[in-house]
Amino acid sequence: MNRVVTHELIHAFDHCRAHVNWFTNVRHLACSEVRAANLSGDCSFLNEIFRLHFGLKQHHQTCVRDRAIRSILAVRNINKEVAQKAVDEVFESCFNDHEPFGRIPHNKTYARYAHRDFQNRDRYYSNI
Amino acid sequence: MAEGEGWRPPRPCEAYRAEWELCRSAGHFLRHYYVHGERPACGQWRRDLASCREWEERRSAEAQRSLCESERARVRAARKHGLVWAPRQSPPEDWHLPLPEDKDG
Repeated sequence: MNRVVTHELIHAFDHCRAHVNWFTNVRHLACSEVRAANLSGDCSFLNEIFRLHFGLKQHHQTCVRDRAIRSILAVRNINKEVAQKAVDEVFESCFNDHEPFGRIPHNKTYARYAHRDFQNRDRYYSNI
Repeated sequence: MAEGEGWRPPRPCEAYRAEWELCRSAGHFLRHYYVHGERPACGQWRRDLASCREWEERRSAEAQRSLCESERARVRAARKHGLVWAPRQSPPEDWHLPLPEDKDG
C-alpha cells in the first residue's frame, strides 16, 4: 500500500510543480509514469522477483519502461507502439529526475538522507 | 553566499562521511548495479570528506574551492537533463480536485 500511495503522490507532486497536460500530451503522462515507477519502489528487485521477472544488471530500468507503458495503456486509448515511443522519447530526462528526493529512495535510509538534504537546502545552496 | 567570509561547507562533515559509507556498502553496490548496470563511484565522497575535515582544521582555501567545485558539479549533473514540461510558479488552485479533461495543464 505504501508503494501505491507513493506512486500516486509522485503524480500529485508533478501536477503541482509543472504544467502537465495529462490528457492532451502523452509525453507528459509518460514522464510522470516513468518517475512514479522509478521512485515509488514499484521496480525494486524483490517486487520484480514476486512478479517472476528475473534480472539484475540494469533491470530496474527495464521494469520502469515496462510499467510506465502499462500505466499509460491503462488510462489512454492508444496503441502500444505510441505509448512505447513516448516513453522512449522522455526516458532519459524523466528517469534522471529524482525530485523531490534528489535520489532514488530505495529504503528508509535513502529516504532519511533525502530528508536530511532537504532540511539542509538553505545552507547547501548558499555555500556552493 | 560565495566563497569568502562566513562560508562553511555545504554539508556537515558527518554528512559526507555518511554518504561515503553508504556508497561503499554492499547494499548500495547491489542497488546501483541493479539500477545503472555498473558499480558506484564513491571516490568523490571520500575526497569531499577529506576537504571538509581539512577546512574544519585549517580553514584551507584549497579545501573550500574543492568542495564548492565538487558540489557545483553534482548540481550540474542533476540538472543536465532538460525537463519535459514547463515548471509552475505555484500549484494550481484546484490541485486537490479531480482532473478536468477540458482544462489540461
